[in-house]
Amino acid sequence: MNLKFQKKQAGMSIVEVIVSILLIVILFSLLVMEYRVLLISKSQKYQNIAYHVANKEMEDLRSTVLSGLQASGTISDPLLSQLPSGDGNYTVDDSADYSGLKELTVTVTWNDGVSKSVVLKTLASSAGLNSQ
Amino acid sequence: MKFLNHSFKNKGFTLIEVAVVSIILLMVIGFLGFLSVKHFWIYNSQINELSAENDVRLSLDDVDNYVRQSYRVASSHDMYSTGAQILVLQIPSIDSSNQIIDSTYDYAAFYLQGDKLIRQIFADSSSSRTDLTRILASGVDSSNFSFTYDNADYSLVKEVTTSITVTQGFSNYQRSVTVSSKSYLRNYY
Repeated sequence: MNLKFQKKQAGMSIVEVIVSILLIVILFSLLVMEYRVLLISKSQKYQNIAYHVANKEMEDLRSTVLSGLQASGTISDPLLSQLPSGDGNYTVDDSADYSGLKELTVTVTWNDGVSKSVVLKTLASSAGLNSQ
Repeated sequence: MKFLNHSFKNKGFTLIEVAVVSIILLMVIGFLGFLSVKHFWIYNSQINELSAENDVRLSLDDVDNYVRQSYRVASSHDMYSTGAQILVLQIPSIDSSNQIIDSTYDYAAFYLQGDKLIRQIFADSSSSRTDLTRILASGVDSSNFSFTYDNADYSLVKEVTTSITVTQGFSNYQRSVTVSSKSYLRNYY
């Protein structure tokens, strides 16, 4: 700033104040955006774990003889402890659309601030994989 | 003119001005430094997190894919013997039109080499598969990597569980992912 104006114009002009506040806000919002990316990638990690837990249970159900399947049950998997309040269960229902077929539903839930879940569904018959 | 004279008389900054300006300057530098350190940390740890997760997912999918195609878990093939950290699979060979060739088998071996998980294919000469060695993941923690089987007799194994931990990066930026997966031999008959 020119020394000539120093006495005349004490303090900052409104434009200077606005520009500097704007700069600070922009810098802060960049950081906030990065933190949001952090949260998203964390929830993706949980989703990956939940998917694998559900998939393992589904593999188990699909290799069980159809008549031996329980109507419902809970999943016990050490991976569930990696999820915040992670929990899992499965249900075996008669299919609404195809008579004679069973609908297997595996649900894994967790809560990382918001409650989330991974649901896998498949149809099983007394032939095929579930016949062994 | 009078004002100008006055201004020139009063050349330089007062101590208070210098102090205030340097405090503001320090604050701005501190703030920018904090921002860049945080930015650098987030960037590096996220790169490591994503790459660890990607490696875990790719390797588990690959192992599951081969286990499902398999006819048997072979106790050994070439220089590899099935065990807690080595999996050898016997897979029906397929011809160029994707038909199974009777009583002809390809072999797939999954093993660790240092911190890398490797899948090696040993194809029969009549098979449309080709000999291929591929790195599935790097940064695999060898003390947390295992194959478990539902039967101690490998020829009776119908189910393979794979547990893997991949660690990427170092110090503050280090990220590790542990996941396991289970699959059944669908061509076991």
